[in-house]
Amino acid sequence: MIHSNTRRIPNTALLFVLLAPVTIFYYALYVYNPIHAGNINLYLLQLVADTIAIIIVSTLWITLILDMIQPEHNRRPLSYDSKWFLKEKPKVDVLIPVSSEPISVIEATVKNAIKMDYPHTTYILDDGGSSKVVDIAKKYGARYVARPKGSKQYAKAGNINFGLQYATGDFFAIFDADHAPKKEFLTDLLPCFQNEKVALVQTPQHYTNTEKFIPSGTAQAQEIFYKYVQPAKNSYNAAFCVGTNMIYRRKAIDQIGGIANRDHSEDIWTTILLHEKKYESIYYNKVLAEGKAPETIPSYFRQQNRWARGGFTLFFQKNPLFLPELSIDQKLQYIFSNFHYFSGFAILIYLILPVVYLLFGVHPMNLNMSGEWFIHYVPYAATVYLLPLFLLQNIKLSTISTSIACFAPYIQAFFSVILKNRYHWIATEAVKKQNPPLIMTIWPHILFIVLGICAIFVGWYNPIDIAATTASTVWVLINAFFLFQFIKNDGFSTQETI
Amino acid sequence: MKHKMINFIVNSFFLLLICAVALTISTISLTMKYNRFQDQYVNGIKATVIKTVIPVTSFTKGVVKKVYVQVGTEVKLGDILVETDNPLTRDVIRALQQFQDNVSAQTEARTAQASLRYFTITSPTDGVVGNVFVTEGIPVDETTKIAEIYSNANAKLLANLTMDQYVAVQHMNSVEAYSERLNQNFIVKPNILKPEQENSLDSVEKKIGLYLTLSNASDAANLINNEDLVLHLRPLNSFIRPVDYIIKFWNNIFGVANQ
Repeated sequence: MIHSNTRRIPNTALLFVLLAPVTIFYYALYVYNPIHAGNINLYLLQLVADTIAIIIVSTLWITLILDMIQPEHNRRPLSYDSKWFLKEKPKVDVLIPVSSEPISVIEATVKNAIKMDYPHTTYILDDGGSSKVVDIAKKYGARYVARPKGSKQYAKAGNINFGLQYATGDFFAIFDADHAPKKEFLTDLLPCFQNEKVALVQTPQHYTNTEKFIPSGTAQAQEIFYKYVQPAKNSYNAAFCVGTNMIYRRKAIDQIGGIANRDHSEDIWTTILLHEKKYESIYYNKVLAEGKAPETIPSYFRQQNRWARGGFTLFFQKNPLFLPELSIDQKLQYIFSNFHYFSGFAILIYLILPVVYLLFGVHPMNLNMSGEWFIHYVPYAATVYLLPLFLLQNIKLSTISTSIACFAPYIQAFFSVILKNRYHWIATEAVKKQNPPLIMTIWPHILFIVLGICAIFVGWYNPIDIAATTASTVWVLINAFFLFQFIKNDGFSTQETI
Repeated sequence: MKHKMINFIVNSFFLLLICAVALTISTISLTMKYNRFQDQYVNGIKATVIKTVIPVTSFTKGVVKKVYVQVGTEVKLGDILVETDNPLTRDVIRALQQFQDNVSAQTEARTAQASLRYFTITSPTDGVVGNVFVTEGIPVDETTKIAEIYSNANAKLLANLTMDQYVAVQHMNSVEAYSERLNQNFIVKPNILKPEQENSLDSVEKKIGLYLTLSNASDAANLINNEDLVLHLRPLNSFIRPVDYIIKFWNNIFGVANQ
């Protein structure tokens, strides 16, 4: 058996599993009762936000509890001979798709990829067309493959598919240019492929640059996903590819016609196609590659936007619920993952409502029973906001900050998917020569902060309901503080990376 | 370098634009709030004086001999309102009194004499005469209504409030009520809710009736039944604050009459 050590559930996580239904139900009983409605339009907004938030927390809860109550012997049997590949000696390729990442980052990844145990061929798939990358390939003995200009369709997916014309091994690993693998990557993962049905083995994304603000926030948010959600998905054979640090079985990929040709999120699309062909995926919960999280706001938002687009396109164009080949467990797990990105709307509504109250004195709930609202709301809010505290035993300011701030890329992604806008893929840490001014990406956040502060002054001019005004003020201040931290820690000057 | 400069300029420009947008939104909302406040809390709330009406009836048969009051006369407890008379009763007393030795006749005479004092009808309370139903020479009997007195005791004010106004009043111990007629402020206190809700015709909003009592009961004498007072939920500002300039600015632009 693999990764049995990760099954230990912390007590606080158990506490979350016990508390969440109580607090959510208690709050829902209050909020969904139209008797408590105030302004009807705002009430509807509040219902939308609460519904999204409650669904997201509930899906996480269901995933956790279904996984927890499974007896050990009912979990996926993943028995294999850890030495089989040494006898059969399958051919392995390592693909490193490169776009326009900094040379030093690419070099570190290539160096580590070459050094991995077990014989393998390393391919650098260069979409940037830089002569320096050619030099690196020569220096370390990797093969250099570049698509001819004018045929660069489908971004990373196209790049990998082009590379697969040259790579012919039985298995291929993929590393983004900013994720450097460890020595034992191949030898740890290859055993899982003894079962012919296994088409994908995925390892976590791990960020090393967590001393910086945004990466530390992203890392903690990711930690919940890799520590709880992916292992649970693994139990249902629904673990999906996250684009880097994984190995595919070539035969399976060939059967579905290569990596899914998408401009973005080809990873989850490919996994779905594999699952539709009844292939299996394994999540191997051990950090075997170290990467860099986006450090600047634009690159962070690009990354989040890309992920959110993936979720939304799947939701609207190939909804997993209506794919007959998937098992019910897989359908649920996919839809849960997709739904997460609707949280952008919930966050935006939660940000706006107190500002609207301070400015215009209209409120979604009937505030003549404001004490009652407060009693119902606080336990629920605590459960939702302190989620990392429950699941990871600690919570960082940066986690809340980055989670709140990413409402903008999520909503942007939603509308681009709805309006079918074309997407231009840029690597997470790529330095683009013409960076658009930062204000273009964070204007919603700045507007919220400035408007929030002004709204507090307006709110305290002849306040009618002191309690409600105080609550709104505190709420606005907290949110403004988190968003301010988010903006401050990137700053307007430090746009250039590495 | 040039790119950085452009970035800096664009960033600063949009930052200023965002601040301008935020300031515009917030000052407009402030003005709206101010105007609404003026409407709701300073100009808008009428409170109607409600006094208890006490009917005065005759207790005996007779004819009205003299009416001492007219509509609007202020009366104190015990003031004579009307005098009635019944010559028949007086004749009967005189006749009975001639039988000095007859106990039964004497008793009857005294009984009749006692009813004499009911010929003088006095005010049962402090207040104002609201109506006089009789004139001199009119015959009355035991049930005839003579007059109505608007009592000063238990004078109340009834105000129909919106929910917001009601919340505001709830948080106040006492409210100032202004009478334009007297150019005088009265201190009133919120008392109890009117058991039924009013549907005001001019707005969709339902209103709540709230009774207020005068904190100084003797003020009631100055107030007239059904008179409208204006409730001041906040003290009026007598000086111009900086915020007033902003409000004036937007009100000029949107053509709202300044209060």
